[in-house]
Amino acid sequence: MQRRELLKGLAVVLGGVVSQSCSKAVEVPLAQRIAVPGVLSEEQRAVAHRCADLIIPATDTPSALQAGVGEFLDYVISVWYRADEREVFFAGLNEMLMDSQSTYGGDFLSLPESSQISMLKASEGRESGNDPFAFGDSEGGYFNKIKELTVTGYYTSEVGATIERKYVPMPGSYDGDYKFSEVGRLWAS
Amino acid sequence: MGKLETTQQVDAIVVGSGITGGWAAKELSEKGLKVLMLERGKPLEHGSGYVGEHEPPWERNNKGMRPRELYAEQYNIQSTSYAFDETTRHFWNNDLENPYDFKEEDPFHWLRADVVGGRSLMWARQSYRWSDLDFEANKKEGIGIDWPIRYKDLAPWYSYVEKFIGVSGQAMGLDQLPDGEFQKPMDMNVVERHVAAAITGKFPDRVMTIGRTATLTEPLPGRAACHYCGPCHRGCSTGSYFSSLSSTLPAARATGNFELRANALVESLEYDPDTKRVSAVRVIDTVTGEATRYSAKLIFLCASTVGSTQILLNSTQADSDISFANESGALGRYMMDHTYRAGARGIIPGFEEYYPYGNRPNGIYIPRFRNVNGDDGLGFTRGYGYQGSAGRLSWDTMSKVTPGFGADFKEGLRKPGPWYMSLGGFGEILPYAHNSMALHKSKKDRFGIPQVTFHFEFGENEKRHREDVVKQAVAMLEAAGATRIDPFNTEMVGGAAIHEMGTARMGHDPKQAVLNAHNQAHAASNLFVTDGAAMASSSCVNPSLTYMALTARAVDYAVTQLQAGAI
Ligand SMILES: Cc1cc2nc3c(=O)[nH]c(=O)nc-3n(C[C@H](O)[C@H](O)[C@H](O)COP(=O)(O)OP(=O)(O)OC[C@H]3O[C@@H](n4cnc5c(N)ncnc54)[C@H](O)[C@@H]3O)c2cc1C
Ligand code: SF4
Repeated sequence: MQRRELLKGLAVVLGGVVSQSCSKAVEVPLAQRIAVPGVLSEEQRAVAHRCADLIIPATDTPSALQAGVGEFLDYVISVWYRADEREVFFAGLNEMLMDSQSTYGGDFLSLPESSQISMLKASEGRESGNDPFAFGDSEGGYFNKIKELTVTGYYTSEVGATIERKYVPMPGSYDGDYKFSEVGRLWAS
Repeated sequence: MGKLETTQQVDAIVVGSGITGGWAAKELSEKGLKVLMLERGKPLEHGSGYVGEHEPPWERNNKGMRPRELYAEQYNIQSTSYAFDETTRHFWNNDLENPYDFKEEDPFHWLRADVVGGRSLMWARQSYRWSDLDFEANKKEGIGIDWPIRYKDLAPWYSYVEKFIGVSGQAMGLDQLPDGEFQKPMDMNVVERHVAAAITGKFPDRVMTIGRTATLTEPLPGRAACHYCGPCHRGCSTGSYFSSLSSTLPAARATGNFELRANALVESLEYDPDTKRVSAVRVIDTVTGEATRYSAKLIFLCASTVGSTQILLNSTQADSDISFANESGALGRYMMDHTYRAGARGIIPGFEEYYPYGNRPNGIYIPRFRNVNGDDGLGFTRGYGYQGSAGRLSWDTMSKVTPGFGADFKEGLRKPGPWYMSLGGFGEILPYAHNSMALHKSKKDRFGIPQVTFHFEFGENEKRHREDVVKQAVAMLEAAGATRIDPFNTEMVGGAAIHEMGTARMGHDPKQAVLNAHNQAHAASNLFVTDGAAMASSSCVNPSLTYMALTARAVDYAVTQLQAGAI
């Protein structure tokens, strides 16, 4: 999905150059796209939510969960994801939970924040880095998925658009030489 | 709306309410004719119909995620467009409800609207004139048939149309891309100006200019100048870009001579071989299924290239399965589009203090520079132009290249990423007889109308010019100092550029062409086809401005002929 956003960003307003792989998602057979509800256990849900706040914590602006990313995660994971995507997500999530027991001898959620961060870092380390400048498809495992979802959920939330970014729905003009220093953050509109 | 089954009440019928239908209705009604417009799509009101306009990202359906199952089942073709999403879906055709015969091994993407206003709602508004380089090419090269008109025939009509729709752009004095009646141009941003200078510095015969777009930089009656909210394809309630709903339909309504019937699908035309006229238009109400017949002195088919030709192909005479309009055998053939999805993009280092303000609904244009002064000897004929833009990468991309997570990660994403520049070519496709649409022998739609089936392939000329499109895009980006240049040349699919045209071409000879020099059917004096079906070649520029000019010109001719008693 992020790839779609990426391509949208790169696509000229005129529709000049959207790559065809945008339409890939719709070519997947229906059977693989049917959602299996109720697959997210309370623990898995809580861990995913916790990870979202480790990825985007509260700073001078609210955190992911404060911005409503929790609901976004629940929706995407249990409704929107295809079975194959969900499988990858849970495999990585469960691996992290097991590591938490074997390495720290406790539940992920009960660990101190520093240990949770180490666990998430380890999860990141298990996934090969991806290079969006290569403009290729990069699917990723649990870490890439939770990071992608958190970031997308956050930046498209009201908090992410109006507090973290600057939301100007009716700019009124175009200035191609505008200075970044005058806004100091990303545009959202 | 009352039933209008008699000839007396209507002088002219216009089929389709999109870009060309709107123009036909405006012109006919302003000339005093009583006009009935028939549109298969659902009713849609200017303003209130644009439910996705200015919708904040956090209020979107499905938490902003594309409902993939729904799209795959019901919008498998339409959802391939960049302009299709939950903010615009209500404008588009439902492919499950209104299918055509789609073959995986011979794909054609028929992208179409299903509302009043047609694709004038979602179009990207790029508006360029053709030149004699285009109109003379078929004759010079012996490809297809000669155009029965030249630039001078259309030039006054281009001006007429541009003044009404409002086209902003920069005059350049180029023969291959004639200037128009421009409102003040939009600005190129700092990086686009850098790239433009670098391109002309390295390649003196190439220029990069701001796109010419039917988007207002100065107000027109009833329409405000653009407020740079973008994206426009969700609709624009200030009428700042040209659409039928914002512009031509209100003008037609203002005459008191105009009536619109939505949900009115034209099935076929009835033909009287004795008078050589269309005697009636057969219509099916898409809600009730009820059938009606209308007749009128003039019939304008403006149902889009495929829509109009489908109607003509389905208009067979008694005891025959051949359309009355197909004496030439050209009906449904010589279909064209543009090549698309080839080019390159790259990162432009520097300029980091700049971050453009506002969503400019327009990009840049590099006019054709190949084979402009004779054959350049590159192994292909005709040419291509580029569209593109420069901008800064944002959180969506930067979050992927920024490793890690946490407070620093969050802080890092607050700054925009580097500048990118993208260049995508639109190239001319030659008119080949085998590129065609026909009516399927057995498959019918829910109203019993034969489904359209397509055959579309790309020739050597298209493949060769696309290689050059990619090569030159890379060379120009290199000249501009770009790094991480990424050439792209994705698989071509007919129709994907949404510039489908041809299939009822204009030409002097009734044995070769369906329409004459005034878009009038050779077979029926009261029938005019003024959408993309009329095209005898495709140029490489976006076509809709030319369709509009042809439409206004055809109406002028038709009404003159009608008044002179010649129709
Ligand atoms: C996303 C997008 C971007 C585009 N960008 C550009 C651009 O930048 N520049 C450019 O020049 N062009 C562009 N185009 C193409 C442009 O939209 C078309 O060329 C233009 O709309 C054609 O006008 P038309 O009147 O022939 O057809 P349309 O605007 O498609 O209107 C045809 C109407 O006829 C109706 N109809 C069809 N069949 C029947 C029937 N049997 N009975 C009754 N009604 C019928 C349809 O429902 C429709 O409303 C773009 C198109 C899209 C979708
Ligand atoms: S960017 Fe301009 S033309 Fe487009 S929707 Fe906004 S105001 Fe209208």
